[in-house]
Amino acid sequence: MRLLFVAILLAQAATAAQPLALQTFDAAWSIINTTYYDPSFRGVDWNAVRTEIRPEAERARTPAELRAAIGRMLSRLGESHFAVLPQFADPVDGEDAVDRSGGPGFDVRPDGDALLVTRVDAGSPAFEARVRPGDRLISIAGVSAASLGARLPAALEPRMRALEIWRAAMMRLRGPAGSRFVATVQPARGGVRTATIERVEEPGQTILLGNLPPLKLDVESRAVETPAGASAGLIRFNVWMAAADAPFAAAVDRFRSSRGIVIDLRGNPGGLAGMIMGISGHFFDTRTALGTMKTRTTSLTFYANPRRSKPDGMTVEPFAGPVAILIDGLTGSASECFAGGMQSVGRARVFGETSMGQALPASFSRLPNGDTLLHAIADFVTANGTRLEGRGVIPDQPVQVDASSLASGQDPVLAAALAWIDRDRE
Amino acid sequence: MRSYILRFTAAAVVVAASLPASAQQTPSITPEARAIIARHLTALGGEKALAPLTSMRAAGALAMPAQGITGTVEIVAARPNKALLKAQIAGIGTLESGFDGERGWTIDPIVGPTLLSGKELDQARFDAVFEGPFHDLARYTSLTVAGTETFDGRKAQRIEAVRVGGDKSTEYFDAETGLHAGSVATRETAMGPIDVTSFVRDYRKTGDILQAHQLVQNMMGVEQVITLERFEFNTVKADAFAMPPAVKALIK
Repeated sequence: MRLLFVAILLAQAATAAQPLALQTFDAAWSIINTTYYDPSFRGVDWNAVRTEIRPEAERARTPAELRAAIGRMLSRLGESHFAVLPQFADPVDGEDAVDRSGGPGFDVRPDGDALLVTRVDAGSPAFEARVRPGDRLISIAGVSAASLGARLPAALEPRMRALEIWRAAMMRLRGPAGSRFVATVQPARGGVRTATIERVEEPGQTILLGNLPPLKLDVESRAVETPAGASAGLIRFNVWMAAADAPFAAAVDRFRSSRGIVIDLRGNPGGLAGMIMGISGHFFDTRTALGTMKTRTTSLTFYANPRRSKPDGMTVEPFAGPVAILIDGLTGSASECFAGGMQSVGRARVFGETSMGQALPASFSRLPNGDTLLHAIADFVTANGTRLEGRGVIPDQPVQVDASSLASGQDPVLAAALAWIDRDRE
Repeated sequence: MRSYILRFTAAAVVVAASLPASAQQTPSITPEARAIIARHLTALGGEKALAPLTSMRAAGALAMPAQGITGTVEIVAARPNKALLKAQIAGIGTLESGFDGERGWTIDPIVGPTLLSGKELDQARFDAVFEGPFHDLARYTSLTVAGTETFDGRKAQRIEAVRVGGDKSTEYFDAETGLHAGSVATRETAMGPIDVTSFVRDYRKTGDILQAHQLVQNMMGVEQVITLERFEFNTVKADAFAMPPAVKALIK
């Protein structure tokens, strides 16, 4: 931090003499220069990168051009958790600052040349428009799904390609709440039709945390049944924000006598990494190391903090039964640290598809132009020494989702986890 | 980790409510160091001003400027060694840490309720002493002046401190005013030890003593600023330090 403090001072000192674009570029460079976890920059000549790309920032005439220049600089590190988040209240600048308070009421995953609908919110306009799990979207607002990845490099790793296509899709699916878009839908039963879908405010609690854009926290839990007829608990939350702690704890308490608990982190991109200590504590009766974050100067360990009490002062035993974690290609960051950490000490079995592989602890800092710089400050390895960045969490039991199972109302990943809970108790 | 930051801040506040150094002699404390600390304690108001204080309550704002994080903070302390810090941070919630004279604890929605143990508990016990770190020099095995240098933009006298138990820190005292200017130390957290640089700023007359109104900590690329605006003395009731039920339930 002392180094960052210096960086901030440098940025401020430049204010009087340099245009805002250069101040912003230099501030971003300096922050990373002083906080990146590897002082050798993993072989990248960080000074040379600045020299090479700074003229682009100097020539930038719009915020988008400046962000592109900074983005090019960040991409040289070749790692996750480096991004410029446009100032939330910025004037419209290309697509970056469009109001995306409304969501489509369903979720998708890339599936060949289309987008596979994996979940539809009951009662949403999309549901009313007869969009169902298992449907494939061929186009969104006149843009074909097949074109979403057209500009991506051919050599891009398939998991990263899927992630970028998903991001591009969500840019189009989201928009002002109440606005509408037309989608071309290929129902699982066959045929093709168009549907006009109204965007709705996404469910959940709005979280405003510092410079980050507003986040919607959605926590849900329900009892489910294993194939053998035993009761189990399913807990899903979409982002690691502190407000998830209380409902998660309440859900664990509700399922404390169940045969097993399933934690669904599919599509959960991360959040506050420190929370893995509190959330994992519901499943350990002793303080247990799950992984370590390594900054430039120190190593800090994420320990599960056994949760032996409730807010009202009642004592409880942490859940001792089998724990299954569901992941997919959109499970990232803190979710990966949690899933990988739990897996590494044998406390959970992981089901689904390999996660993002974007698992660097990061901080975020305001830049002189009002944008926010997201920047990794540490590497992360699980308790057994596995580095997750670029690799992801590899499921113990890989399970793929397909259109036919979704269309028939099945969730094969959850089904596999519940079957394992039966076997584990046997 | 955040709880730790706050707990440490409580200690920093109490620094400014310190009483004069004890007359107890410790051979490894040099006369020069003793003189610097005595000057600091005198600058705060001296024994006559400090002795009547039995408790303190302070309130203000907390910020992590680069991250845009803001909140409120309340710090409560009482003789001989009780401390409580409560912060409300937007987007996070309530974070509390305390020491009730025997047990140290934290509770927040990141890690959950925790009873401190080991070095973290030792640290909390040290920090909770109402008179502050420099009141009883017998708590140090060594205090040695290590020259004068610039610290936080000011000329400052540097003291290398070693606590009973072995923890080391570098303490800085403003060469002009004699007031404690900050420190560099390794602090124990729930995740392991971490280097922290602290700045104590903006001393202002509060009642009969000088009280620091701004406390800044830098750690791991993050700067945290606490600005205190409201102080009360001798109004804190004993039950102010009661543990939250979720923490109390952890006591075996």
